[in-house]
Amino acid sequence: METFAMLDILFILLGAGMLAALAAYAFALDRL
Amino acid sequence: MTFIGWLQIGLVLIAVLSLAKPLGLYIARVFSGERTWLSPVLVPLEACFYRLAGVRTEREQSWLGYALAVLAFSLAGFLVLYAMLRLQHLLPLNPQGFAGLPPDLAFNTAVSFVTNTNWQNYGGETTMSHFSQVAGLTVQNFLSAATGMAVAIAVTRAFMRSKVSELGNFWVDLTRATLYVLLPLAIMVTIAFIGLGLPQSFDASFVATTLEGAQQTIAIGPIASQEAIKQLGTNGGGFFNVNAAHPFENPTAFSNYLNIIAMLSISLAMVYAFGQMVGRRRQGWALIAVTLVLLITGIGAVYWAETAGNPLLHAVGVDTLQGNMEGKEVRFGQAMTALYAAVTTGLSDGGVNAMHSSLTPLGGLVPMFLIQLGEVLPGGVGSGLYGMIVFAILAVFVAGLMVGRTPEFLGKKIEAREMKLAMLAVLILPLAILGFTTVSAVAEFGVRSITTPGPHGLSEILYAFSSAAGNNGSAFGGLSGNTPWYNTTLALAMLLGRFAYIVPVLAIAGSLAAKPRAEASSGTFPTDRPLFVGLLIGIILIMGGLQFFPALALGPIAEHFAMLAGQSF
Repeated sequence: METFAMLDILFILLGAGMLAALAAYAFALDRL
Repeated sequence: MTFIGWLQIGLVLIAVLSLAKPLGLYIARVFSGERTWLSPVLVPLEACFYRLAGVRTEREQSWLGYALAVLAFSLAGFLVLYAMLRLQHLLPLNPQGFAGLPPDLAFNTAVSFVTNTNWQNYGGETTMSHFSQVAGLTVQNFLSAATGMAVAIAVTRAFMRSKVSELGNFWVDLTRATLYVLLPLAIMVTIAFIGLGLPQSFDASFVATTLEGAQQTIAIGPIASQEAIKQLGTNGGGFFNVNAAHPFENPTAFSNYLNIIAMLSISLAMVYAFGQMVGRRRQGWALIAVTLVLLITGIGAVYWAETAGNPLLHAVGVDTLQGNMEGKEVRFGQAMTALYAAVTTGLSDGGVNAMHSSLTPLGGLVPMFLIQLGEVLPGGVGSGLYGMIVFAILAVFVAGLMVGRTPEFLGKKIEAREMKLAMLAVLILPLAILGFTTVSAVAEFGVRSITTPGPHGLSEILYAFSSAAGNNGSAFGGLSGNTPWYNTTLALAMLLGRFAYIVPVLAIAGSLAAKPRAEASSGTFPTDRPLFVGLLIGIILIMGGLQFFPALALGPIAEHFAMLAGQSF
């Protein structure tokens, strides 16, 4: 169960992190 | 190839083309905020949603605000769907008693459905509860399709407007796409599917007595409703593992016709709607012409390759008349299988009515190449239109270079900023596809998922990442994708192919909306004539060819020559 909770956190952070990175990309393109 | 086969293909394409104008006009009215025949019922419902969500419809967004709204909405969808899949054993409507999905598979599936890819590293009937199918996956089928349509409409408005920074309101566009377009069509198609024999039930299974007298447990569920939005929203995620080859998802030749018509209808109608909304219907037809030329060529190539069959099997006496029937359903035959394979990969649908891994090498190359061309033939319900517009921008740029004039498209000058953004969008596909394929093809944890050695194995990996990055979702089928490596990397490819494309596309739209509209002059390159259609076709083929021909040479082309030399895989 603990392993699963850790993996859950990892994958949630991965997905959210990717989308956050894409948001940062959008901000960067706005300044281009 | 037979005359009857081409007649079948022709009838489907004529039916779809006949729908393009009326549906396109309706879509244009919906997104222009005009009254439609559904308004008396849906306007109050729409207003209710806005009140509940606190959406101020008169407030429009800049391109950045629109993009951030798309990303935030998709993040929320991903989190909800991930939780639903991990916790499906605790949720209702699980008569099969399925456990929650493992974290990596839940991650892959959640990303897959939020990005409209619907890549399925699982068999639906053995993994997903009815609640997950209906409240999770089917809901995302609607919302991801509506998200793509909203982005396409935002890009359309960039050509309609001048000297403004607003592209519209994402929440309004999303709601209208769902309420006025996807839901009504899905209801109609679901009823038609039920009439054609697709089951619609919340039972887990039923027991049938076979001809030999044995008892067989057959999985069942809310199939008709999922199938309808699967096709209409160019999602592709089926209820069953074998997708539209399963007799419950696609029981007859006529349901197969309806499947294909449903797949193509909104995507083509959106292109017509684009022409209508920018006041240049000929432009819409020109873009549809580009789609049809390349799509029909692809259909013909698959049909030819599959009816030619496998010479190795012919040499041992297998009947040559039917061509290569491995992996195909007899009730569809060669023509309708070729049509489905080309259409599903020219769109970003990804549903299959045959096993693509069983296609001949060249027959399998065509669907793969159609995905790699950028999913613009005609592409997803929204992504196809904005993808085609990006190619059109590249085409007018090339034309402008040739004649030494500033390129312009529909009255908007295409300058350095737009070109940089277009290249950022276009290059994300080869980066994701070739990058991940390279690592997976050399690393042990990637290679061990291949079930077929040699060039076909490379094709399996290349097709998987092409499908993921192109948000298609179809698979060659021979790759054991349900591993932590592929679940994670395919998901990353899907995210990049979807949102790392949408962000620069919206930036282009923002830039174009802020420009004044230039009046056409004698030196303006017309973009609704056959010359532009030919140029655009050339640009699409050259981009796809240059980027992916080396990989294709090592995969399906090598396999084809190996087959001619007597070696099979």
